[in-house]
Amino acid sequence: MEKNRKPQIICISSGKGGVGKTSFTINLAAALSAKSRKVLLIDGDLGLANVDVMLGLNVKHTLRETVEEGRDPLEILVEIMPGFFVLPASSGVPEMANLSYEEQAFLTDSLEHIVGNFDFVLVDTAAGVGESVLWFNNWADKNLTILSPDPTAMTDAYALIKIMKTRYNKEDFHLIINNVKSRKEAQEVFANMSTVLENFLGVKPNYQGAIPQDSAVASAVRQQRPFLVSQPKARASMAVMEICNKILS
Amino acid sequence: MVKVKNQQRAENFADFLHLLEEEAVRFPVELIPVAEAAGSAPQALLVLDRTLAAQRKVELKKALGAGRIPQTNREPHIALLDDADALSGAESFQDSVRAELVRVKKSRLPCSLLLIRIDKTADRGLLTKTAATLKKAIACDHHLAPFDHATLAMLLPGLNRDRALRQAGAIHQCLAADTAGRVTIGLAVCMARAVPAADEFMAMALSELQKAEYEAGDIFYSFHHQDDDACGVTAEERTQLFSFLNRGKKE
Repeated sequence: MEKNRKPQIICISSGKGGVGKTSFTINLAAALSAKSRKVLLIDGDLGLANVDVMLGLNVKHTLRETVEEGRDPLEILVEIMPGFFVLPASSGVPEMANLSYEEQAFLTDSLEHIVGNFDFVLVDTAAGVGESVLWFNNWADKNLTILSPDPTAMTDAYALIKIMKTRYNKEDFHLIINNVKSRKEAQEVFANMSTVLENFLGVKPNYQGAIPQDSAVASAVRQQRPFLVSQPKARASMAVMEICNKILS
Repeated sequence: MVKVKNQQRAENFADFLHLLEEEAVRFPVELIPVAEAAGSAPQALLVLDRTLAAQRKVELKKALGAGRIPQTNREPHIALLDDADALSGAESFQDSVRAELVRVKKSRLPCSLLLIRIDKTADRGLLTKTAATLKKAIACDHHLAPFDHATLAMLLPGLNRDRALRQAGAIHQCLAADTAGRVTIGLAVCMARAVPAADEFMAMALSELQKAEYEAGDIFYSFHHQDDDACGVTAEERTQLFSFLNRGKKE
């Protein structure tokens, strides 16, 4: 593999589960690779991985082997489509969800050895504010937070940002509003979130985009394919392309 | 890379290795002397990052010196207890604390420091025996050293307040069952946004230990800028977060 690139590491989190992190991350990776960028998607939900399920993969090796046996992550990579690679994690392994400091340091070291092969590294984190979530967010260059227009998703997204700001001094947050009825609704949610973040934490988030409610999303999940591939003209696909262009610009 | 100053002090290779060891205590590394045959004088030093996974260390040891690691290989986390002089052990430990605080700034992961007083009247023998007991209970990246004649210091890289308190509780339980005298513990926690100097960090733990000595509880902790670390979402924040949802209803 060609090395020595300076990748942009983007961590995608939400706080709450079921907001659409994994679906969005897979489609963003597909969009970036469609723009001729080399992308690595790391399944950061180390104990309850889903990326392989959503892509219909039957993986032989996972990050668990990197942590437990020292296997080179390059041997674990799965190429989904040209330029789009996945580092799968394990499912139903509680030990992986609670890595020790030593294991975390080892995993970071192993990942840092391979990220130079890519233009973009996307990390799809677990739900919640567990240590792996905070650690991946801290490791990333850019923090994307996904939320939907419901009070629980907003509270959890806010809580995550508050922790990252308070404990890790992170200042730069990018919001994506998922599952919105209209652009107006997305703007209202963002404006409100932005006001609260600014008032209480002194943080000015960036609006990264919104993804509309679209039956293509649920349909693609059942087909275990990115909706950007199965229905490129769907409204959700267009929205992801718009976010991709914004990231590239 | 370990840079050795005052190289003129090294008259032979053994001296040179000794100088390397002296310099390396300032870094979070583990030094493993490598010899041609078991029992012979070391001819090289293997320098390993202390945070590497145990499996990785074994692989590296195999790759770089299979069968040549002499029996002098020391246990990394209680290495300082092998020193005859408790004071020099404490000084070396302070170097490790300094190195760890630098890592906290870089990695932004917390670290904690425990001072464990076994018994005011304890002697060196009891301290060593206690260290041997603790060895079974601690992780390999934890660093244990004598602090004074009756006190052990333990550095816990990566542990935040809650995890360090759990560890302190487990240690207290383990030692209390094994020791006739009272066991007291002082804990200091360092977060990345407010990293104290090594002296200050140790003083924080010592101050908590003194509180524990004179007050009823056995474990006391201090947490730098504790108020700033309150991450819970407050009622005011929630009210504002949900305000736009209710806007339509009021109108």
